[in-house]
Amino acid sequence: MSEYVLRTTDLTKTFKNGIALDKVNLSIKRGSIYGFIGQNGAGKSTLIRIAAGLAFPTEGAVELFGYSGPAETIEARKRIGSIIESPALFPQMTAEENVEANRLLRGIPGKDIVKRSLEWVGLEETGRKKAKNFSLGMKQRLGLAIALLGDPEFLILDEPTNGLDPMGVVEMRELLKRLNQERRITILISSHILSELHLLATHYGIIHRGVLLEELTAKELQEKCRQFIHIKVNDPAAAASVLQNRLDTTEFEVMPDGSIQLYDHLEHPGRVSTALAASGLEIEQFMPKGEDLETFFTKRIGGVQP
Amino acid sequence: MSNVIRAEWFKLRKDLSFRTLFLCIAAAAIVYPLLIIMDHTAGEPEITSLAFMQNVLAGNAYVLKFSAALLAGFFISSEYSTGVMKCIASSGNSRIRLFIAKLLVFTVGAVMLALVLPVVSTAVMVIASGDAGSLPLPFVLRALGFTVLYAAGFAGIAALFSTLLTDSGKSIGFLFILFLLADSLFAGAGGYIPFIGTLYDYSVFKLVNNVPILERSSGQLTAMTVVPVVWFLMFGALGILAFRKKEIK
Repeated sequence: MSEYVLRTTDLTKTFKNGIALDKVNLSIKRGSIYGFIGQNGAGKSTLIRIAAGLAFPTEGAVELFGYSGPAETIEARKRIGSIIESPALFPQMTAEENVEANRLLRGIPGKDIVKRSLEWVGLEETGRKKAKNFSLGMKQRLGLAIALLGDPEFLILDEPTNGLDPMGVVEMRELLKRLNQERRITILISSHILSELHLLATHYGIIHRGVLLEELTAKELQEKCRQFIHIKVNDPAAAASVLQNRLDTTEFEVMPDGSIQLYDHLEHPGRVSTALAASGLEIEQFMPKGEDLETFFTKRIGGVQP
Repeated sequence: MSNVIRAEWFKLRKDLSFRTLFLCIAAAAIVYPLLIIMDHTAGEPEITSLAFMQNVLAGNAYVLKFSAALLAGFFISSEYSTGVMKCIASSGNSRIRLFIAKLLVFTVGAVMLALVLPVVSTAVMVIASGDAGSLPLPFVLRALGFTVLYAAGFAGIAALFSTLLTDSGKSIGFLFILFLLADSLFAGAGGYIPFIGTLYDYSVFKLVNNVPILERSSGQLTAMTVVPVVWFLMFGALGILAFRKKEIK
């Protein structure tokens, strides 16, 4: 059994107007929750669509569960559930009919699975209501019920929290965590809500303009996200002088809003506040902080893009 | 393969456009012969069931073409615009298998729609007028058999273009124009290029008009039988090629 559910080798996809993926070598380990991060048009959806068999690579290869032959990868997709860009639903059908159509398509035996999958996502009471009349959140949940049919080993979710209310986002996160922990389902999740991904992912891949910049584990990300003391005083220039002369450090940055990020003396914040106060500075804010995923991502792609 | 066909059959049964078309054609098929009978004035010769069925079959050529176009738009193309095709294409079934299942079930749907008018209206006419004797059974069976074959021929064409166009509005519009203008275009071009003239002579567009003819030579019968089968297979194969290479958005 392969250690990886998805691996790409030099995956390249070009369109008439440019390159969408440029020699991408991505690997998703079995059992992980892989957060796939990138701006709009970075190539996330293109890669996901190739993995799902909706698009074809210009060059390079895709390996699913260790299989890379054309017929084998088609067969391997039976072990994958997906929601790509938006939940794929028959608008004129009820929730039950939607799940039943997909059950038949995938050749999953036993009609009772339809009711069970609707129960998992809390849509068992929708009755004769047609999918076209569902809220966006209900559509997302129905899409997830369909994706979970047949107990997939690998779940591909492109923006699964789109349109969910705050409670729905929390419920979705808990559901995905449960699926990963209890059923050992590997999850590839692409989302723009990086704070949400941060609470969920065990691995990250950062893609920018078709190039996979970095793959790292949550632990590695934690180590890379620098911790600092956030300081706001009435006179930033004087504070900078105190830090240099009295605390003997240059490990700080004065931010455009006048606040200071101090990367030194993290173990002894009391010394810093005492030194600043002793110099007659008025301390407005003083707190330990760390870079979050969003900051890390923004720095990694070279700042805010136009 | 059987599971994909079962899924397509399930979808066809639930398809609102199929149900609506079926009911509309069935309603027209019931009303039309009754109107003919009610309009009959004393002294005029009564229309025989045979003549009535021939009239219906002539008109049914349009029903057959346009119902195939409408069904293709709603049953095939709309799956691209609603995004359902993403789910289908990533389901772990080969593209060939998916297209063949879709084509077969779509063809069954188109055939059912094509049969409603001649079957129902002729049955109503026979019951209402009491004239069953003028209808030779071999003609009825042959006419219905040809209706099945030509509906399949047009279904093959509709399946290809609805797969290429992926938008129900565009597909229906294009197929309506194609089916309406094909006769004029083929006949016009055939006047200058003999090959196109010959192609038209052996096309479903021309031969569908011969379905109501009572007497035919064995050569004509063979051509009438073989042509729709060849067109169905040819367009089905083109559809498979197109769908295999298609990137689904």
